[in-house]
Amino acid sequence: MGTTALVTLICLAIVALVSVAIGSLGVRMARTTSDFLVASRTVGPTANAAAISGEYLSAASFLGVAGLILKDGPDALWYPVGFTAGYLGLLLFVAAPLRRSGAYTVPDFADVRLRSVPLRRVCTLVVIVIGWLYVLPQLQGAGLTVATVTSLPGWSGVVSAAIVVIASVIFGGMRSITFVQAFQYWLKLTALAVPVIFLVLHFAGDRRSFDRPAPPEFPADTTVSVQTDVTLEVSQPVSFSARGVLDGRQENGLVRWQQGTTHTVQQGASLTFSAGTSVPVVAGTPQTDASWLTPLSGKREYQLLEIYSLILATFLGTLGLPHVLARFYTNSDGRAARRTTVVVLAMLGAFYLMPTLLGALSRLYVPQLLVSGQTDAAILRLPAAALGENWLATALGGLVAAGAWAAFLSTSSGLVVSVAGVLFTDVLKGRLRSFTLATLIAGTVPMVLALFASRLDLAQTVVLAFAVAASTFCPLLVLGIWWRGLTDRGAIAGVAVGGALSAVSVMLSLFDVGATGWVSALLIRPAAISAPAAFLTMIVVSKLTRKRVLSDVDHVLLRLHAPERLGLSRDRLPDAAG
Amino acid sequence: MSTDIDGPAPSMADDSSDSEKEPDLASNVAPEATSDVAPAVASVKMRRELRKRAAQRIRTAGGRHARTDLDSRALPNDYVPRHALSTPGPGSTSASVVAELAPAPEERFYLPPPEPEVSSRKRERIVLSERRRPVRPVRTEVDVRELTGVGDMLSTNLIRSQLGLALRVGSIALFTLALLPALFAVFPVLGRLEVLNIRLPWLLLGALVYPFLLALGWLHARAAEKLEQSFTEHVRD
Repeated sequence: MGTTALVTLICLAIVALVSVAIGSLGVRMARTTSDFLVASRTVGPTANAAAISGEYLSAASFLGVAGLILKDGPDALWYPVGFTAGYLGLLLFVAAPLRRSGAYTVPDFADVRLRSVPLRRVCTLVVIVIGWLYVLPQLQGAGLTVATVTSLPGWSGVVSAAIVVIASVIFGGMRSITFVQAFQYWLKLTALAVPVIFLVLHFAGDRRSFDRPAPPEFPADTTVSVQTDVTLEVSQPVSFSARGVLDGRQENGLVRWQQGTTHTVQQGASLTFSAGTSVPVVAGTPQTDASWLTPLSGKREYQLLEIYSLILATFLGTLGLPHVLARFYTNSDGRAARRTTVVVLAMLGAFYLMPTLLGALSRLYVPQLLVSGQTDAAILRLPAAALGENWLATALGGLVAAGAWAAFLSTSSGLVVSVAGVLFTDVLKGRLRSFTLATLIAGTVPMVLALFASRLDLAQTVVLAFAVAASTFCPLLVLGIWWRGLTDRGAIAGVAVGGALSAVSVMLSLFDVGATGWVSALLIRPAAISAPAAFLTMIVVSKLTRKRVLSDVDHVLLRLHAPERLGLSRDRLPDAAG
Repeated sequence: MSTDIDGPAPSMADDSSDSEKEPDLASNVAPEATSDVAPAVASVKMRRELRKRAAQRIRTAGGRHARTDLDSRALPNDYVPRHALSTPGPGSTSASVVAELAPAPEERFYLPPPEPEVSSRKRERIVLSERRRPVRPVRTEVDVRELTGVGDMLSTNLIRSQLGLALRVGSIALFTLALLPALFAVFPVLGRLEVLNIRLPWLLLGALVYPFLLALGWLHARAAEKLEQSFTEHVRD
C-alpha cells in the first residue's frame, strides 16, 4: 500500500466518520419526521433540489457512467440522459399531485387514492425489491473503490460500506436532514469538477486525438490483473507476458495474439504489456478509437432495442424510486414541488457533464481497464494515470474517491431508511418490531447479494431497479393521479404483472443464465415489455372491475390537482403551526 | 390514542358560524348577493362553499399577520392522517411535536386537554390510528363533499388540461429522444459529422440534451402554474 492508497483510505474514513457523526448530531436536532416536516417548510426549492440531487447521484452516476463511456462511447451517454430525463417525467406526471396527496411513499399513496390494504402490501414488497436492487450496485461500487485504491480484496469494501451505512442509519442516519443531502450534491460536483479542470488542461497541452483508426494504446508499461473472467478481442496483433489461465491453458511467459482473434482470460490472470502496445478490448465493445467515437458501433446485437428500453426504463422509472419520492414531501406545496424538479433538471445536467468528459478522457489515459473489464474504476484511476505519480494526482485521486464514497453512502442510506421504514411499519410484528432490526435486515440482505451476485457494470445494475420501478409504481402513480377509472383490483393486477415480469428478468440477468440475442437484450432491459404490460393490465382489469371505482373518486382527484390556495387539501400538519 | 384525535368533522354549520364571527375577513370574499343571474342551485352552493374555504384559508394562513385563534379552524392542529404511522423513519410523528404545536392551554378552548404522559416524557411514540382498520379518510370527504355540478366540471377541466399539457410536453421529449438513435442508425454519416470540433452525437447527448430537458421542464412548470391560476380565478369568481 503506497502513499496514494493511504491518503485515499484516510479520505474514505473521514467521509464515513463525518456521515455517522452528522447522522447522530442530526438526531438531536431533528428527532422525528414531524420535526423534519415543520422545519422543512423553510427549505426553498433550490436547497431542496440540491438535496434531491445529492441523494439521487449514486455510485452508478459517479463511477458507472464514465466507465460505460470508456467502453461504449456515445451509446453510453443514454444512461445519464435517461437518469436526467426521468425527472422530466416526474415533473410532468407526479411531482405536484403527489405533494398534494400528502403521501410520501407509494404505499401511502395507495392508501390515499385507493384505500386498499392488499394493494398497500403489494406496494410494500415492491419498495423492498427496488430498494435492495438499488443498494446492490452501491455496495459493489464501494467494494470496487476500496479494491481499486488499496488492493484490499473487494469483499472488505462491500462489508465495511454496509457497516457504515447500517451504523449511520441506526445512529440517526442522513434521513430527514435536507442540508446534509444538499451539501452532498455540492461535494460530489466538486469532487468531479476539480479533476475535470486539471485533466482538461492537461489534455489540451497533450495534443492527443481521439480519432484514430486503431485501438487505444497503453501509455506506459502496464500490468493488468484480471479479477473476473473476460473475453477479449484483438484487432491488432499484440504480444505480452502473461501469468494465469488464457484460453483454458496455463500460460507463464510470452504470449502472442493474432489480429482478429478472440481470447478468454480467466480470473486471477495477470498480463503485462509494454508501452505503445495496442489494447485488446472486451468483446462486443467498439475496437478502434474511431469506431468508439461513433454511435451504435459495438458488435452487440439489438443495440437499438436496448437503448429504447433504457430510455423507457429511466424516463418512467425515476418517478417510482422510494428515496426520491420521500424527499418531495419537503416541498411546501405542489407549486414548489414543480419548481424544485426544474432545478433538479438543471443540477443533474450540470453534474453529468463531468462524468461524460472524464469518461472520454479515460479512453486515452486508462485503456488498461478495457482489458480487465473493470471500467467502473476509470474515474478513480484517471488522475494518477494522466498526471503521473505526484502530489497533485494523489490529492485529486483522494478527492475523487471521497466523492465516490459519499455518493454511495448518501444514496444507500436514503434507500436503507426507505426499506427499513416499510419493514418496520408493514412487515415486522410484535416483539420483533424494532427499527434497529429493520435497518439490519434492510442493510444486510443487499450486502449478501453484493457478495454473491455476478457483477454487471454499476450503471447497468441500477437500470434494473429503474425497470422494476417503471413497471410497477409508474403505472400505479400515473393512472392513479390522472385516471378516475383505476380500481384497487386493477392496480394490484398491474403491479403484480409488471413486477413479476421485470423482477424475474432482472434476477435472470443478475445470476447470468446466458441467454442470447433479443432474449438477453430484453432480460437485461425488460422495461420495453414489462412497463406497457403493466399499464395495459391495470387499465383492462380496472375496466372489468368498474364497480369498484371509489364513489368519491372525483373528490380525491380534485384534491390531488387543485392548488393549495383553495384550501381543498390539508396537510399532515397545519401551515399556521410551522 | 386512536382516531378520535382527528376531532369532530367540520360541518357546514360550523363554517357559517365561523364566517359570521369574523366579518372583517369574510368581507374579503363578497357574499353571494353580487350575482345578477340566477345560476343553478348547485353552482351557488359550490361557490359559497369555496368562498368560505378561501376565507378560512386566509385566516389560517401563516405569516406575520396571521390570526392565531387556532380553535376556529376546521380541524384541530394535532390532526395527523392515518397514514402518518409510528415509524421512526419517514412516516412517523412524535408526541412531543404534536404537543409543541398545540396552542397554549388558554387558547385551545375546544381542544381536549393534553394527555399527561405526552408532556412528561421527552420521546413518546403515539399510534394515531391502526393502518389495517379500514377507516374512512375524514379529511378528503369533508373537504370537497359539496363540490358538485359546476365544481365537477371545473375540476374535470383542470385535470384534463393538466394531463393534456403533460402529455404534450412528454411526447415532445420522448419523441425527440427516441428519434436520435433511429437517425444515427439510419444515417450513419450523422454520427461522424463534426460541429465545433465535436462529434454530433457527443455534442447532442453529452451537452445539448440537458438544456433541452431543462427548457421543457421550465415551460411545463410555467404553463401548469398558469392553468392552476385560471382555475383558482374561475372558482373564486
